[in-house]
Amino acid sequence: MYRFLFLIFCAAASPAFAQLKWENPWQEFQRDPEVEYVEATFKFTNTGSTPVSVKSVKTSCGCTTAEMAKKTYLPGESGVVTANFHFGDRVGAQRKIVTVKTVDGISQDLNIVVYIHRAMTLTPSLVYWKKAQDPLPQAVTLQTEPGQVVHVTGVTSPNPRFGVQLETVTEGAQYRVLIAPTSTVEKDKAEITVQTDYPPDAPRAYTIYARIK
Amino acid sequence: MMTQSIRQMAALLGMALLPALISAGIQWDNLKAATEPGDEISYETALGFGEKILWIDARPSASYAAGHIDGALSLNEDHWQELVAGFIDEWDDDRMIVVYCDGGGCDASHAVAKRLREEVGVKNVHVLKGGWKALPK
Repeated sequence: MYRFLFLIFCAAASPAFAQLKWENPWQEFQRDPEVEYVEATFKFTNTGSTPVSVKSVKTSCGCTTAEMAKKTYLPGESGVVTANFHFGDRVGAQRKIVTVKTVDGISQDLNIVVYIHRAMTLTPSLVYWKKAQDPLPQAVTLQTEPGQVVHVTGVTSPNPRFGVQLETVTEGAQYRVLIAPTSTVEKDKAEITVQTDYPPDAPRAYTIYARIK
Repeated sequence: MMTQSIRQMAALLGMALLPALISAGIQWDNLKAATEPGDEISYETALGFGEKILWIDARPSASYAAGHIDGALSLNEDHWQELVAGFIDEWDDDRMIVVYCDGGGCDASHAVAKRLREEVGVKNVHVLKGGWKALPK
């Protein structure tokens, strides 16, 4: 009796019982933001003895779409779920999930894991002074990603009431921008542009937000 | 005999679970920074902030356009560069920022909250527990 139950347990725990066998439900990518999206293909095979029908394919984010050619797969038949994750303005480590549910209630999460490189990080991207506060300079650190070489080619303030000064800490790796208002008597604002030379075909500019509130 | 069968079942379960748990742990560590839990608060707690509250809607722009909390600003990762200046103009250092998205499995609010704290450098950033779906209708 117990040996029979044990065998039933083994059968239930076997991946083949789940019918759709997925080749690689966790896929990782490294991408530059200029690429804008990544496409992942998730292959599967119906390893069961009966047809499997897919009830739904849902994504964890509106930034991710997923589709498959048809809904029902015969025993032994293979298929693919194709998912596209559009980065938008996302950076850093991202994980998006596509959940496939079959008519008989079995669910499988397919994971798209992308590290979206951030060539340069500004810390912080906002500097501010309260009205009547001492107009002392504030610093923004510009740090390139390890292994990346990015040169700052210019820093400009469209508002002459905010002065900017660029300091090179380590050429191609770390810079500092000092920002100081000429006066904090009135509310004011500026969007300061940091121009770089990377990527070479379309060099990126970054924004520092300066505010007197 | 029963004891032997139970031991065999436990051994099989352990052999199946151990590599899966190790793999999941390693993979999850790689993503921890991306979805670090923020400071989740209930809707009732958020209302207690009164006029100091600054609602941030982290959902896609189309969802925001279809309906949002009164006075909420749209700030999502799809259009961060375009939208963040509007947040900065509205923000002040005595405001209590509460970020929401759809709720359930949505992690957009945590992602936006994390960027506000780490990139923009603002404080008093919270995430609405349950999101848009948990709001009283």
